[in-house]
Amino acid sequence: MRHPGPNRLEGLFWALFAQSAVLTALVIPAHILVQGVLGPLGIVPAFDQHYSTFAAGLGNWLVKLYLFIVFGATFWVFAHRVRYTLLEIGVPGGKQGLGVVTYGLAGLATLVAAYLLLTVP
Amino acid sequence: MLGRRETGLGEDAASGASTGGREAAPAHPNRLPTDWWRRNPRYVLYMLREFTAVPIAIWMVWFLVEIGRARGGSAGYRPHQSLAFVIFSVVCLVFAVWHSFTFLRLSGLIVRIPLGERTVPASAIVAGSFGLLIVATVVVGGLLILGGR
Amino acid sequence: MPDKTITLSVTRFDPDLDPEPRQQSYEIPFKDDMVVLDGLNWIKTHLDGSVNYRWSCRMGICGSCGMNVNGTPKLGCSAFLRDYLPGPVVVEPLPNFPVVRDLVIDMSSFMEKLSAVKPWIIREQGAIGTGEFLQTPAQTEQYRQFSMCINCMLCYSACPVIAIEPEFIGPAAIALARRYELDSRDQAGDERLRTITASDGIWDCSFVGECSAVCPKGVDPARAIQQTKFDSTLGVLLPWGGK
Repeated sequence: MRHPGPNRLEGLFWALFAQSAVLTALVIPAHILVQGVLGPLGIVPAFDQHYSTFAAGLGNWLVKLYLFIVFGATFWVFAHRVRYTLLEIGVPGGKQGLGVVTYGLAGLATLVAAYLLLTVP
Repeated sequence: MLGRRETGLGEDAASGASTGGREAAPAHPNRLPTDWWRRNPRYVLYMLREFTAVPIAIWMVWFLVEIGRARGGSAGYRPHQSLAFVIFSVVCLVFAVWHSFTFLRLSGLIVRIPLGERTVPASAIVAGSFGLLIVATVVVGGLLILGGR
Repeated sequence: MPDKTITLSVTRFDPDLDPEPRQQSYEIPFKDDMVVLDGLNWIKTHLDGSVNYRWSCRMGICGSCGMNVNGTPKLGCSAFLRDYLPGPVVVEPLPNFPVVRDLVIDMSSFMEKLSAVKPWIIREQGAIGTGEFLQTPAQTEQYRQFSMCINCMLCYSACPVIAIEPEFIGPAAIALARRYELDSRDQAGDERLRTITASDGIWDCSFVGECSAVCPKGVDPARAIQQTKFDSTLGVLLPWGGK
């Protein structure tokens, strides 16, 4: 009410969150199940259990792009949810301040992911 | 018998108390305290739903660490194989599934697909979302396994 | 007194005398069909005429008697004492509103938010009185649920966002905005949307969902808010939408 007109930035943040949350809801359980449980236990082969298969997978540009999007989505969902939750349990900093910190952290982590994906053989 | 005619403070009197002629006494703000989320199980479940983002993000950071190790070539590469990592992954998997379940279940409330004068029923959208989860799990999990052969 | 009694612990606050609200206990006769409002009326008639609270219809229509019962926002007329046996039943003013006296809250913040969303049918052509504006049952069904709101403000008391950001337009006002947006007779276009997508609008909501859980009329404000988020970003950001 103090600032009339749509807040497009917050709308953009939410839309990114919503799409990221859908993507992570669909693909993350499979990653953790195969790479975190079944693969290490030796129940099934998993592409990250041997250097040769891992490097072959990560060498594919489609895989790089896919993983970049999944990393970005995960970190954005993290930032968005942590931002609102901290605000609601009374952590000082305000909506804007907490937004800068959490979205900034997510952006940084996504940049690191991009760097690692680009420099991995 | 229960004295229904005895009323509480009427609306006029109430607004008079806050804005009336004499200087109004300060009202008590009475905001929900910051530990509101411990007040009932629904609030706790909400917190649990939001918290899922934390273990998922931590697990993905471990995935990044693994990718970082692969940059050093085959000699230095160690995949995550320890029992501790498996236990950690199981815990993260529980949170990840809870995120998938809660988020996709709410999709039916949110997505509104017009169908003539009506809209697609929420139950159909939720069913479709869970169907998509199964398909995505089979496809992504299958590719991760096939890539390891 | 009859054999069976129950204790009501009622918030008392006189801003001229009390630095903070305090609880006062009253033991009242219990009958199986008594609601919290009956208990308060019994206290006012027989024990203490100075207890202040709002009420009117006694049947869940007027939305006047909202109060916190054992920590949950309820209509006093719809909360049966038998559900809180053996007591004591803690009756407090609705949170997130300034307490004027005892259980009486200052609702002016809500009235401002309500009028900001223009909760009435806006017509470009054919003003009111120029005839009927027909609607099919299917068109009515699109918004009917949201039209059941009685402005009792329980949803505002259940909302942790209001506690942190008091300017947030809040559940009921956004649900009513949605009610008129979905009404085939309304021609306001994006007028209300501009208000509720502003800084103190829908983006403040983190979908706790308690507003919908406490609504005594089965309205789902959380759904209204998330749907509005979805609809208002869908046009700008694609392709497979968001949830």
